[in-house]
Amino acid sequence: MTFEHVPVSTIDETLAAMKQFGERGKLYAGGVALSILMKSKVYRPEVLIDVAGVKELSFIEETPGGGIRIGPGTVHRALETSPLIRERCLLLAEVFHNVATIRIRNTGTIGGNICFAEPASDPPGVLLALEARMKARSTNGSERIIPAAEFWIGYYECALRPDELLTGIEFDPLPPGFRTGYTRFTTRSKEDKPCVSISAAVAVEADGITCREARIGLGGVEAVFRRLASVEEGLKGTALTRKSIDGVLTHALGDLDPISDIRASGDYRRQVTPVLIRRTIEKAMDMSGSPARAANS
Amino acid sequence: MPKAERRTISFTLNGEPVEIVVPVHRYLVDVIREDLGMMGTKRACDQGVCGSCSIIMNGLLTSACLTLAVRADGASIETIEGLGSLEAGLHPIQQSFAAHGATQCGYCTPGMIMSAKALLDENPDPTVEEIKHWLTGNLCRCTGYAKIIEAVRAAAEGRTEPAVPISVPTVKAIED
Repeated sequence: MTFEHVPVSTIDETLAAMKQFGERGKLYAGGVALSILMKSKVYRPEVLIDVAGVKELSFIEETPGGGIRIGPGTVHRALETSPLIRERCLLLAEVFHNVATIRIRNTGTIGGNICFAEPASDPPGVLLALEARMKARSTNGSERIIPAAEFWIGYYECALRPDELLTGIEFDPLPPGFRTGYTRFTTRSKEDKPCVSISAAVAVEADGITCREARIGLGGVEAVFRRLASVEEGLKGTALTRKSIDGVLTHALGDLDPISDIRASGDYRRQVTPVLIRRTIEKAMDMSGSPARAANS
Repeated sequence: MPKAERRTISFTLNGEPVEIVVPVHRYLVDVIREDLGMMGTKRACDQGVCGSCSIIMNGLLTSACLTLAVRADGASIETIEGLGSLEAGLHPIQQSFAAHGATQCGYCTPGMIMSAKALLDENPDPTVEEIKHWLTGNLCRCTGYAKIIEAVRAAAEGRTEPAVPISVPTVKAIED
């Protein structure tokens, strides 16, 4: 097994190489998932366009409007440890603290992760809850913004076209008042990929208990990452107590379409998902006394 | 099947300059083991999961099995051989592993020690929880984790003796 290895160092060079090699060329960023596919002989790309040296794709910065913009070539560990991310969005830092292991976090990139679109993965669910926007540039020079809600479209499938390069991931930190929680549930070992991942952000009314807004990002359960719109709608106006959260979840998950794989059966996922959602919301609510946990403190 | 492209790369391995010609599809673990003959870095799962090929590349703990050798061009790489040896003297972490009996079959040990080194380089006084978090990616199939964690903690404290005296062969005895 061999391939052509084409290192590039700028976005323009990357797009030129993508145009030149077309479907034969595959972007090689951290190289974690792709190396495993190649070593397992599942996939044999003819040309690897190696983007590890593209400094323009690796950054974490604040936008003039107060948003956060992340380069797709940023490694997980940089997001885990970034003072800016910890200050403006602790939920994101928490999620990246739990991606795989230190070695993988030193190597794997956020862009590679979200484009690979593997259901058993941590970052997409939280990017859904944060309503992130993905910026893509085509080899023909045009650009477009893809909302997170439209970014994951299938099992291991994202919305990028073959001629498009992900150039940025942008989100606005949650407004003050939001409380957040993340749960990664593994069925085989601590460092396994999540069988179920729940990202929750909830805001409550002045009474401190009635839900004003809820955002729940679901990963690992279904073939495609998504927000749980019916759960979010059901929680709105409800007291966020164990009993009433369970009451909402009993009725709001009828459309759940779980996958069965090596980590769990579909039926098992159907059983544990509501429990994990409720626990994640409880976790977010429990932390209300801790200023470090508030979204924008 | 096209002929593999080969490229000349150079890097620093345990302080020594290395220049070598490699096929572009060759992974660093194979270059270190087979081309350079340093067998301390193990190749087990070959998927970045088990941690037995852990090396420190440009200061960062890395899986050598997931790193294309061409990406090591210009890098500074540390392997277990660079830490210490019986002849040159053991590194304090190696000393601590030996003193605590933190090895059973020994296969995972170099990776464990490289992870411990990367941890202590960054955080010289880790809690037991932090040690566990860092070593999560290093699998010991003998399941001797308790002594490994204690050995790392002891190394951080500068202790070479176990907290609880246990009967372990001395380094001299291993040499014999």
